[in-house]
Amino acid sequence: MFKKVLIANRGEIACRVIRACRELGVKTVAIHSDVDRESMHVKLADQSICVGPASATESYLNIPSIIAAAEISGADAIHPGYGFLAENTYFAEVCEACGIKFIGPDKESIEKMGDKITAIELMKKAGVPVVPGSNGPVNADDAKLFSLAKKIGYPVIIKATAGGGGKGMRIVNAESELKNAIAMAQAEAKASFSNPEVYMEKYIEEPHHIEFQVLGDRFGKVAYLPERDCSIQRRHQKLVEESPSPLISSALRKKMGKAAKNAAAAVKYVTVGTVEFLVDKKGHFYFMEMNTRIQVEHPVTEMITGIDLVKEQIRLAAGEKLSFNSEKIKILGHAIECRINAEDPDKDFIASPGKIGKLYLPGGPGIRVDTHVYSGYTIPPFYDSLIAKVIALGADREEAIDRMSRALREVEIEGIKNTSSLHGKIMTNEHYRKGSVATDFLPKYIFGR
Amino acid sequence: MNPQEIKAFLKSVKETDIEELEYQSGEDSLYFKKSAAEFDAAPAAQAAAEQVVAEEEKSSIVAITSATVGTFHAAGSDKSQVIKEGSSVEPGKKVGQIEAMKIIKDVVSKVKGKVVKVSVANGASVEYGQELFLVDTSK
Repeated sequence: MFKKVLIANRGEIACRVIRACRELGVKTVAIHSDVDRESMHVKLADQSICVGPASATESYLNIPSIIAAAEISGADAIHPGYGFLAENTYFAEVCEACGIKFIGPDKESIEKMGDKITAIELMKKAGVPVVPGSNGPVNADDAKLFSLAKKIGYPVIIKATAGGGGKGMRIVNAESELKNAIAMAQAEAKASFSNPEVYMEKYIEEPHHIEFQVLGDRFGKVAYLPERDCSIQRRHQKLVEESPSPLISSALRKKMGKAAKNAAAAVKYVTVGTVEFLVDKKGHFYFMEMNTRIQVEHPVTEMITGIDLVKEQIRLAAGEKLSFNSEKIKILGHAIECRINAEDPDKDFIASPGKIGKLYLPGGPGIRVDTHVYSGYTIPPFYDSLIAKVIALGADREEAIDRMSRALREVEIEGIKNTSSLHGKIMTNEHYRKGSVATDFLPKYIFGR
Repeated sequence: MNPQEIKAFLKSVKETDIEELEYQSGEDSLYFKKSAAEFDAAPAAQAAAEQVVAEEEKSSIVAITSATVGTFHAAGSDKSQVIKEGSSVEPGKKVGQIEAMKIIKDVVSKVKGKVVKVSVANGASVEYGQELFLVDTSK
């Protein structure tokens, strides 16, 4: 086991890692920028080092400074948390070159999974379903255009290669619309990105975002844990996560879990990671991407399995064996996580940094709160707006929702705006309560547009 | 106009019935207006001016801080001339080194003056922004 771990992060995840280290009897070093001197992770750690000014580029992303901090503090491992340098291949490489253990997968795994095209090719070889598509540019006069679209199966979507933000996209429901849609998308792509290239893939209707937690050890053993449903998103940012998913049957869980396991094994994955899938109404699932780090929503999995994922991640990085089999995991209930952000939900989610006055965070049966804020703490405007994660565990989904509802009503954060009222609306929404919701839930049922 | 002059100026204005004046001397200009509400604010203005003076006096002491994380080595440009209390420094003068990841970076003074305090020991670990020396720039 490591003697001393440096946490190359801030906020709630830094506190979470420090707690795990403390339980393992490992000393901790917090790094911080000069505006984060009063942050909770600095107070919790055994030791703290200021690595730079407020700008993340010069502090939390400043590799030479962070490595120097590990050097002068005598840390033998670095935990990157999520965000910042967590999926930075170069950083993992530098750690290795300096003889410091990077608590995460090997740099090759990060590299392979970080590049979408490489990852998709690998997944195909490993027999993991990927979204069927043209695997390259298409044109209206391609000889095999119609047969390709037929093979993929309608509806298909035409997307700009250089795309983003919905520009140069066309959904095609029938062969008669295909040629025209390609021409339109090409014109739009040329105007938006100066690149007319478009490709075709299957259009997933009302997709659900379902992900599987995977763990791997140095001896080639890989396991998966029950899925997390992260379909409630705003602009591709997850807001609510739950486990298990109301959409997934135990048969589908086994099938998807096995695919996730194969995905991780294909890159000889070590420590913890997440395989993300898109699932359609009929239960067809497609590999989307793999996150090679611990995730924000890891607590829902911890709550329903009783496994401490962060401790497990540190143990696996230290070379220990994976201690369980996927088949033996029992689901202990239903868990939901709400991400409370310092944003104003009434003003298009504008960031709301500032000083917190009175603060009351919920408690009671089945409630866990992961946070780094306290009364009198000033939220700096330079970083992520996540201020607390409220996690509720219930015997079933209904109890978890009721528990979360009452916990959200207890939240009191003076001095800044926060998103707990929005989460309250989601918990009482009849569509949400009825069951699994797709990624269009927020605009459709909460914002009413 | 230095803070002492401003202070004296405000004091003398306060003692008159003048409600508004504009004063110009060379490149210095000062505009002053007493409104009914601010009539009693003159003492506050005086206190502010006094604070400016106090800060002015304090600010002759300048800290040389570490721009990086690492191990501090008290080495002057010449090994025999380790910077200590009483050493004279000027802009560009090397006052020490910080070593991190086997890379050595010089610490250079930006000010002219006399070192009044050496804040870290040779071989100590330092963080970003940590005070290394205090320099009195009035000497």
